[in-house]
Amino acid sequence: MSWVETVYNYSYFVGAFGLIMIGLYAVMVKTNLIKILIGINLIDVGVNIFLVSLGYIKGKGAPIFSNASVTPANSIDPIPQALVLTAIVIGVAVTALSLSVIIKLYQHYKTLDISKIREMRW
Amino acid sequence: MNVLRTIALILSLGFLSSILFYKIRELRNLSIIASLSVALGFVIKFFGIYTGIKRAFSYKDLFYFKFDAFSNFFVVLILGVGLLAILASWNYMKEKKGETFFYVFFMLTILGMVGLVYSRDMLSFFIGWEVMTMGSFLVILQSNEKDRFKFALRYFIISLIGAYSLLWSMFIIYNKVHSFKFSAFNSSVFTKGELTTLLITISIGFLIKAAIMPFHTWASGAYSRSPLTFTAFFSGAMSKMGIYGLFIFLYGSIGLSAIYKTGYNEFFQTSYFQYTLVWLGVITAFLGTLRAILSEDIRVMLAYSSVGQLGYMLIGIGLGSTLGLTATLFHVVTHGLFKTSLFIVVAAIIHRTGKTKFHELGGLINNMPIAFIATLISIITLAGIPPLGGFATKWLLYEAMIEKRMFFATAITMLASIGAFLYAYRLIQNLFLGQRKLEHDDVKPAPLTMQIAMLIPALGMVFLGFFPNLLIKYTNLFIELINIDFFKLGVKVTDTAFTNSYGYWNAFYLGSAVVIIFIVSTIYYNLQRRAKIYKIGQLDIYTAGEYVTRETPLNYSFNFYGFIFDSLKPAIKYSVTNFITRISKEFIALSDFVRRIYTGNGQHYAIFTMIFTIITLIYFLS
Amino acid sequence: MVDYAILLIALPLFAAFLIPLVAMVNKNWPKYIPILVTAFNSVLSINLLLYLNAHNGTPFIVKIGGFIPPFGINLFIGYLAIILLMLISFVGLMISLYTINTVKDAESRYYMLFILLLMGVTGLVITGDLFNMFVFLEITSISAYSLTAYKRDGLSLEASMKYILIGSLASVFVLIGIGVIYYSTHTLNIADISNHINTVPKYIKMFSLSMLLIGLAIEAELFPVNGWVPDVYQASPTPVTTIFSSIVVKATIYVFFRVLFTVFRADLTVMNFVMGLGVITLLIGEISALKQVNIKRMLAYSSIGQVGLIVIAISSYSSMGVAGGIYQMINHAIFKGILFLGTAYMITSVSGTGKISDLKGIAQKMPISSFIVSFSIIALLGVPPLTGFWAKMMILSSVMSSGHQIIVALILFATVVEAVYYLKFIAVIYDSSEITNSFKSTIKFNKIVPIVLFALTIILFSVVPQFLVKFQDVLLKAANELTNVSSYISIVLGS
Repeated sequence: MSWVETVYNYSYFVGAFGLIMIGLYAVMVKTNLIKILIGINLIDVGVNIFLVSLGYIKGKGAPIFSNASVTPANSIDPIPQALVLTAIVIGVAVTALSLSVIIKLYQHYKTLDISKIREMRW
Repeated sequence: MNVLRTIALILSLGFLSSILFYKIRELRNLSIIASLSVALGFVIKFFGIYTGIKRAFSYKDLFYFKFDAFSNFFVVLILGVGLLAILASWNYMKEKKGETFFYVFFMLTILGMVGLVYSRDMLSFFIGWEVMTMGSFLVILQSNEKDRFKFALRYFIISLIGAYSLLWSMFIIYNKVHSFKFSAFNSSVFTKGELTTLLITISIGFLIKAAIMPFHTWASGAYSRSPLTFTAFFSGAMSKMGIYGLFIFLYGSIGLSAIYKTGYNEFFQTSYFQYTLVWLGVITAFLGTLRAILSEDIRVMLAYSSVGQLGYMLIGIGLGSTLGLTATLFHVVTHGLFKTSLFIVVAAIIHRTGKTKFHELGGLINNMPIAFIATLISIITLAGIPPLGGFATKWLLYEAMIEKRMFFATAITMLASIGAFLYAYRLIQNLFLGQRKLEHDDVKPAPLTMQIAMLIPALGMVFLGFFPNLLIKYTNLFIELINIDFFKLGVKVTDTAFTNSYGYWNAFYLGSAVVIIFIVSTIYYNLQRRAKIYKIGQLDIYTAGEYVTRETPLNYSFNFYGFIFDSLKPAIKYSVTNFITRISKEFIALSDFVRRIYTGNGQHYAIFTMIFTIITLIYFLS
Repeated sequence: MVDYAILLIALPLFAAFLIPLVAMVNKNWPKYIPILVTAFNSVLSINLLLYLNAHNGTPFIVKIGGFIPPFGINLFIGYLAIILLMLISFVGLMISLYTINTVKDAESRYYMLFILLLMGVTGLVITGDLFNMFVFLEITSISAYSLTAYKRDGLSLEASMKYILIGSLASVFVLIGIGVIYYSTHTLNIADISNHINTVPKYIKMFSLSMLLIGLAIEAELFPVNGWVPDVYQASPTPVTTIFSSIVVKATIYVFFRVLFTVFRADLTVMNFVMGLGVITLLIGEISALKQVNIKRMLAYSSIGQVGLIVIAISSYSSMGVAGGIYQMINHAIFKGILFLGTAYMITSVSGTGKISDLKGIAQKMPISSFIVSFSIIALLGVPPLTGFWAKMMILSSVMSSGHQIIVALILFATVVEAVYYLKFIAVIYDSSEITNSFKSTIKFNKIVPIVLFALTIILFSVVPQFLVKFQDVLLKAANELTNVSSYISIVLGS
């Protein structure tokens, strides 16, 4: 098995990992608050993909039991998806809240540069 | 009826009444005095009966208390001095700011001290210790001085360091012995290094309370900024708790053989640890005396004098022989008496005049005759001049030191005694004799309660001067009681004299001789005076054609010993106090640096999080 | 049975969403709802305590929706949970009392978020499901973010922004950890995970452990990741700060150790790491507090230090140490309740920006609150025989017996540092030289009462030995609930 194949087999994990890394880069390097928020969202998305892919088994379908052809044997684990739904909701709430905080901050400080918003320190 | 419970009950009632009646002066003071004197009477009554009998009392297998003669010795000191100080406070604190809570905290301090003296396990000892420290800290906060907070804080913080040093060693012991009881200590489970560490940390805790150099930095401030009647108690009784603690921990709990295990010197016949203690005591006695000589403020002078006197007591503790310990215990009593008296005298003077410096005062002998007599007796005791009790201490102490072949240390201690005479003399010369300041013409004598409080210890000193052997009879008993394992030499006591292997001292004969000489010379003097009455006034002097008025300063009292010690003044700059101040400043600067880690930039916090993540992952995945 | 325990969560949730409706009827009513809710929860938790006492103190579970663990979500209630529940509802009640007319133009929103925060914390303490725990954590965090920003001035927005930034990272870490652990054990029930944790490959277990540790360390205010704490404490309205310091951080510490002890059956390497974190947190917190000029910020750093102490205590892993840690949690909640509320009460009566120097000589005008604040400081410093001392004794003896003499020395050192700045504070408020500030002397009953009640609690804990002895038994049982994994599993899963 070549490394290409490994990457292909674990492509979801690789993608999730990549998204988290990009997000972390944005959080740690960019000074614009909106970009940092985008970074946080990227991390969230990466983690969600990671969670979904944990439950995903190749070739199996969603466990919708009203569909007669789906049995426990050929369905994937639904719990991670339920978790991800919750996590997405939480992520949306946090994003909305932080966007409103950022708008207010901008009105107050007239800047979005995080390194300039440090009235409280030490 | 359990004696301990009764005493606890009586004192607690006193404490409660100090809280309940905190606004009603007479009721509050009377109930406190009543409670203290009843407790004192109780202790004295059962003092002899239970001598040697171990009256123990424990609560929930955690707190042990014991009513024995050794504890009673210190409790009598505490209650006695406390009683005198409260008596003196009646007038001294009257209508002063903070009068109401002064008594509450004073009683709290006394409660803590009595508790710690009766305790026979480290936990209740520590609780009493902390209550005492907290109570005295709060009393200092009640005073009128402007800079009291600075000194109170310094006192409390340094005391806390000492207490925690003690607590740390307590836990080290508990961890090995699985009991907090003093008697449970077992030196065989400790290695030599552990024992040494323990000895050092324990003694740091007590040396700080006893204000031994280099841990004395709180003393001058705390002694001089407290309400002065409390300082009488502070110096007269509370500073001895350090000595008591060393006694009970080193000789009562750890034991001499365990101390010798940490390193024994054949020449001095003592351990290196004890040798260090002796030298700390010698240095404290010497330097404390020196600083006392150089002080211009009466309160500071007495504070440094206390530091120096505690040095003598430490020498005795460090020697660890019967002679040394006897000297220490004897000095605990004499110092308690004369410092109480002196501080109350000074309190009275400051109360009446409002002046605290030597050069602002003078000629008060006619205004305050009783105070003068008390001071005279006190300083004779302080300086260790034969007819009074101070001499017995010195005599025993020098002998004990020579017995251990510490000749150089003895010489320095003797030098310190001479120094003590120098500063003690200022109390007479600068306060009572010489020229009276104009504004002090109608200074009233000390208030009645203060006169009583300063005279009772003076009487005690005279009594001890004639019958030191009575006290030594008891101290011998205590030293046996606390189970000191090996002493060859003891102090034998007869009715009028006490003897040890080096000599013989009959205080009664000598005292009687002095009294007889005194009476004879007084009669002679009076006969002489009757013959030619020619009174010379203070201003009745011939100057070079100049008319001398009351305003002209005739006797000098500022920088009194300047002619001898001016050259030493620059050396004071390099004091431990400055060093400690420097260190605390550096520490605060460091703290200012440390908190800059909270940069205020949210992004930095995110970066910290990622660094922490990496560290954690490396730690857990490797 | 005790299925009504679910009301601890359900009722606040219901009340929180009822508030906007109530506000429509009458603008003044919402401020009384938190009092009702917390009072109800107090009664309920006392009821649970009685139930527990009647059943030999064996913890019990509440199955939600009738699902049998490990399938449904279950609540786990023992002495520890009840201690924390009582703490939450009692402190919450006090703070709700205090809040009336305190927060400037508090709207119904404020009370809603307040109740949601309390509900989230309550859920954290009693839930037996890992993902449910995450949800409660997020509810707590989101309401905390909004409450921090509630004043909508520069400082509070700034603090809220930092909190959101770090808090989101925390939730990400926790989520990754939970995902990994779910992937390897196929369950989310804490007891069930714990049952299967030893079959998980070591690397996966350790990875998941470190992810959860980091995420929860952020919430539990441990050192390198607690940058948000002082800002949030300083900027949010005082009742909210009090909740953060007295309740929220206690619950997160509980969760932190529940995850480490029960989920991962953490061993000595982990505990030593955590203890190291605790020591650093303690030292940095206390040292940073030394030169603060703002009262709330000073108290915030002091809280950080105390968190360090609690973490050290619990990570010593002996039952005595854990009991001491729980005891210190209770103490600290009460002390910080007094300190934050009392100082805020003082600050409101002077003109100023919350600097320590603004309070110079305030003791003459406000003797009762000054006295209680000083009293609680003295108790906090561990002066015997007050309650702080007993907790500290337990902690120190257990840390010492686990062989960390240096750490004991460091704790004592930190206490000395603590004493310096707290006593300086006392010195300032009792300063009598000259008073520059003008006082608005208004005695507000609803502000004095909570402080006095807190002080009475200190006295109850300090000087009633019979109570203390019984209390110590309860503490030891509670500690056992936290550390004894096998009994936890057998209670949840049966046999």
